[in-house]
Amino acid sequence: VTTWDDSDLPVLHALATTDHHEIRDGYLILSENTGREKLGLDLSEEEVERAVLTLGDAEYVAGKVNPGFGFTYFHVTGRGMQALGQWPSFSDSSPATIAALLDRFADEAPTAEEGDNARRAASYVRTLEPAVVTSVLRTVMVEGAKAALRLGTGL
Amino acid sequence: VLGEWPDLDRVMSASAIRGLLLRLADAAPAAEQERLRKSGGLVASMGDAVRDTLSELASEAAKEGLE
Repeated sequence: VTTWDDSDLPVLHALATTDHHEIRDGYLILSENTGREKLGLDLSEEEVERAVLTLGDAEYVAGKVNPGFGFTYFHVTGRGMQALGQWPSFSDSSPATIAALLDRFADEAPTAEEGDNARRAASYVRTLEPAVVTSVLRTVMVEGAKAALRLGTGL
Repeated sequence: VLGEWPDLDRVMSASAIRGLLLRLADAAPAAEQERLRKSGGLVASMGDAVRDTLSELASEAAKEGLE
């Protein structure tokens, strides 16, 4: 049992899916009834606030803190959506994302042959394990960073 | 946990995606290698459109997830 399961995840999910007009408009006003009435959760004001601050530290939500009031310009971030599985994540779905990118560019390719190549490459990428693609991406990034460092230091 | 994730800003670039496809080509069956390499070239030629397109795809997926 963790605070993630008990409060942080439920709060994040509720914030992303609520129909409450205030939250949809970017206002998260904290009060005794925030958990139950606005989020549909049996959590106290303090528990909701603690969860929101934790989610903010992880950059899953963002907004302007207004002491004694709550948050304005409040929204669930892309990272938050990834944590909920509602956004592509390069850590677990990069083959699908890369394949979708190739399909999109296939439509814009200068020649039919290049477009066909990209579509076939997309089909192949979809068959790969996410962990394989993530691992290769990390390698590419590390090598890119090393190359940039060498350039910066003149080595 | 966040430190174990790829840096999305770096991933979302034409050169990184091209590098990924070239690396994948090295380990792919012979029939797939040339397609992957040529696709890497296509992606590289798209430049900044890579980042924009990935953002569009992510936005579309997010909308579908919320609907």
